[in-house]
Amino acid sequence: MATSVLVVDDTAFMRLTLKNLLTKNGFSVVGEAENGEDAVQKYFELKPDVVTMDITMPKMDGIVALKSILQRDPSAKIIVCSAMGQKPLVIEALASGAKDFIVKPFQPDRVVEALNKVMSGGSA
Amino acid sequence: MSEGIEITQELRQAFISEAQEYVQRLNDCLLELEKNSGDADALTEMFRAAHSLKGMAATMGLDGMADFTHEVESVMQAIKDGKIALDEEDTCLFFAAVDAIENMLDQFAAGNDAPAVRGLGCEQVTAQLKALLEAGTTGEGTEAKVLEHSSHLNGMDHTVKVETAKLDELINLIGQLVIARNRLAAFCEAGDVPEEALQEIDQATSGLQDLAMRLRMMPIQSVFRRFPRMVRDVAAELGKKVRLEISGGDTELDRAVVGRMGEPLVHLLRNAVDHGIEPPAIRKELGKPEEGLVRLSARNEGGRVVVEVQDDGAGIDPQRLLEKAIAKGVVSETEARQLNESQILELIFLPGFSTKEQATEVSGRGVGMDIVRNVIASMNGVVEVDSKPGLGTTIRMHLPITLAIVKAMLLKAQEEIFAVPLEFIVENILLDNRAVKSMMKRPVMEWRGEVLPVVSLREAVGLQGQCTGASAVILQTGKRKAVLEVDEIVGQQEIVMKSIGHFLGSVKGISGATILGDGRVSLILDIASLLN
Ligand SMILES: [Mg+2]
Repeated sequence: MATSVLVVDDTAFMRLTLKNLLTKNGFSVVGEAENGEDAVQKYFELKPDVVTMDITMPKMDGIVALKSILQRDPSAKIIVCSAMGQKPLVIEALASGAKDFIVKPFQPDRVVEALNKVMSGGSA
Repeated sequence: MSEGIEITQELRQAFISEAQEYVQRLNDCLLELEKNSGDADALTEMFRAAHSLKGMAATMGLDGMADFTHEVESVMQAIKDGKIALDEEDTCLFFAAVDAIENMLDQFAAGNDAPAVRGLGCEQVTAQLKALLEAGTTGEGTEAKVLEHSSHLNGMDHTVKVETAKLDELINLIGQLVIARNRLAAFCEAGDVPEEALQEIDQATSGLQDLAMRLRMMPIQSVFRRFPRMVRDVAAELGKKVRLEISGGDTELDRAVVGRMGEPLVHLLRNAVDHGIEPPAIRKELGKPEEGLVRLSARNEGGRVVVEVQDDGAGIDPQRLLEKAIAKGVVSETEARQLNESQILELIFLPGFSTKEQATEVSGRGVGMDIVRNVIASMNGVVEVDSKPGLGTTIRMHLPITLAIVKAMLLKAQEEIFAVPLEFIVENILLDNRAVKSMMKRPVMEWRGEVLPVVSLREAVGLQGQCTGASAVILQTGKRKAVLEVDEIVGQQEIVMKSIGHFLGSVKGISGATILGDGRVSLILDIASLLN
């Protein structure tokens, strides 16, 4: 069965980009969320294998969402998506239990690699 | 970006429409911040919008746009974190920055796959954003990298970035030099210094001063460019159809003047749309085109810059305005009878008319007109109003090109010397007391076929007695002229304007002070209030 992914990002364009990229590489995008609150809710609703979590979002940012998911499900596999200039936040995310990070602009190979690695049990 | 994602047509479309949404959001936030620079929600949202735009642009492989939005984002971050304070000039800068982003988006939508920051003043926008950032951060952490990363944006070899503080320091030093030169001139007159020495210093000073002024000049466009959106928004909010025509954006002014024009123009344009332009249905009934026209223009005129806001709306009914003024106690009925039409129109600049509920009732302008006049007067500018009921209203502002150093005429009243910026003086005349007549108990004089009021400088500044001698100057601001009777015309001098606002508060009839060549302090007359 294809790996199920929840794509979290506040911009529709980025969600579309990731969805296209992931679908093309054999992943199944089962849901999308546009802010942290939405992400937490959808995670427990859909129980995806992996979450790609944007950091900067309205209402609840990706780091808070990540912590709140991991608190209730320590086995959650979350990959954070950051942009250039967000190193400190990436470090915080990793320290909080994110499995890996990918940097915008996305490089397809790097994204696929990160997801595969997370699914095979490796961590950053 | 060969290793990047595949850009499909679908993705392209999604990018353009969402990016446009973010641009709009940036604009909306800026309008909020303009009203309240401490609005934390607007700041956060702006930061996020810039951040999202950056990520999107980078994904699309639009490096120029990604770098530029990153710059904006970094500054927003610094503001959000309290490292830099947002002032009015910065808001202008951000409007310009958002316009640059919008422009790049348009380029991309039109088929340009590598849109770049371009157009009027864009290099300055980038440079100023960087300057802001550098001023506000200590260079640690992410921001420092940001600057490196996008340094190629600034690859204009013939321009140099200068901190405005340094520029101000330069102007100050030149100011001191001007004062020293004037003192030297005084010695020279007394025969203590050879004339050639003075001439050389004179030339060097003028050249330096001129150059420093030109360094401070910037096109007023940076303020104008935010208004299309604002007018569009206000019109939409009120259900009106309004077209804004802008001209003369390349007219240059001292950056300090440009920076202070935002607020008055916001008031004037809002008023034009809100109280000037009629709703479409009413315009149709009146036989006017449904779409109202608001014109915003700037031009050079006789050593000053004229900025105008003109609408083809309802105009102001002077009779109704006067009735309101009397009812409000702004003028007495006796005073009211002596006012001519243009004097009646000027009543809108009085604070009594500036409350919101008045504005709608008065069928004219009102909101913030006193603020407009105060801001303009504080820069030694003059604002005047022209209106034809049914045809529209024009608000015209005459602004000095610079605030720092001006040529002035020195006038004596008793032993005090007062300065009047030269642009207010039409000419010096010999005053024949027999020519002064009385009209409605006020002294007037005929001058070149016009009847002008005669004002005594002594009286205007609260000194005792009649002016002696036979000297006077013809003053003019906008359409208004008057004869100013003085004890003596001392002569012309370049003066360095110092605001006295800080320690004297606002003194009626005085707009500032300067130090003369002989070390004496001279007050600068506020001609606009003198002629009222
Ligand atoms: Mg985001």
